[in-house]
Amino acid sequence: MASSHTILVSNLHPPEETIVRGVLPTLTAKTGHTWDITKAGRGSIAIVDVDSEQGLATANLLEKRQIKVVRLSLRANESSVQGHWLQKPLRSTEVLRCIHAISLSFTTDTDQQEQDLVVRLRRWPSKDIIRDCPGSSRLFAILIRNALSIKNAAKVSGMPLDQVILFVNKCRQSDCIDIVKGQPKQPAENITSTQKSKYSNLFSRLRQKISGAPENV
Amino acid sequence: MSELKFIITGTAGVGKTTAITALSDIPPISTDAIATDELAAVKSTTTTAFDFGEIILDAETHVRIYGTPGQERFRHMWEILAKGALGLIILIDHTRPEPVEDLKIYLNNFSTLADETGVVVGITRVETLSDEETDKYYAALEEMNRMCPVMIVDPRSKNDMVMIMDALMSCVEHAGQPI
Repeated sequence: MASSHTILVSNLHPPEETIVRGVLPTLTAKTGHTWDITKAGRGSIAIVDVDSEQGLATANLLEKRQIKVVRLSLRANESSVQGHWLQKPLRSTEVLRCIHAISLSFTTDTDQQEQDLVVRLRRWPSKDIIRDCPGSSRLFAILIRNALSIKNAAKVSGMPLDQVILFVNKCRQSDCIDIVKGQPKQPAENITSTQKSKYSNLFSRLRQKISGAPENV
Repeated sequence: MSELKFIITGTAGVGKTTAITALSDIPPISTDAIATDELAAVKSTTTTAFDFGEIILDAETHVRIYGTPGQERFRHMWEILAKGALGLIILIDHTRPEPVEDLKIYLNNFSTLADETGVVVGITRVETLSDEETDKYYAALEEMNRMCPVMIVDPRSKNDMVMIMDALMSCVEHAGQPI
């Protein structure tokens, strides 16, 4: 359902604001929503330069207010913090990609019903989807073996609901996921803790090593 | 030092050594050994071979990746290698005459390891697969009552190998998860 959305830009330099403003028409065409930009007040999405203490504080505060925050940083590629990131220098294609991706998860009252949809992967997602949804392989691994509601898939995988919705929408566009009819399955209360604890630390370190990301201290 | 390992298998020339090279912190090491099986009565020599590489997490923790041929005649070698492995990657050369049959053979041969840990299938020597071609692989998996990722990979590409390893680790992490 189309709606109006505002992008709040915080701590951005004027050229960066110009870049964001420049993608609005394309964003409107791609998403079907109407977009505008503000430097103060409230937005559906906030782009915040976090390479300063003030920016970092602003980003955290906005997130607490349930606003979707896109962090802009020189060290975006190095960060192990989950969420949405943009690498400096800001590029319009990356802004467009990022905001478009977030917009796919916007839900209305009507869309709430989608969270109860039971889905199951028919095929492993393409490389494009994997790249657009970093850190989602555990969700894929769960959904290729189990039919779950979107809500429960988020719960079991530990991923934010909006990211799961984003992923499911992308998979529906590429026809690699099925909507399963019938009663949604409830996840077990306890994940097999033995399995989880046995490998989680090792695999976390291995992932960081082979992907070239710095290890968490 | 604790040794941890993954297995990569597939037909000759599918890209096992190349895949290991993409991931390993050391140049892959190939081994040849004279096998003393029943063929020795027919041939004077026969050889078995495997490659391995290492991902070094720290001085105490090395993760080894073994590349092993999965044909029946090398069973004595890869059964030993597969014991205690954390997961399995099966590389399938899509240009071979019967790639789906190849997949079935390797899944059968490594069924115990696949059951106990996790398995991911990497399709090589192809840029894209049509839905119809992809579904043939998944149909074979369904026939064998096994659902796992099937991914197009270029063994020369570190990004692709990281992607397939990430998928494998996720499958292993959730292998026994009751939902």
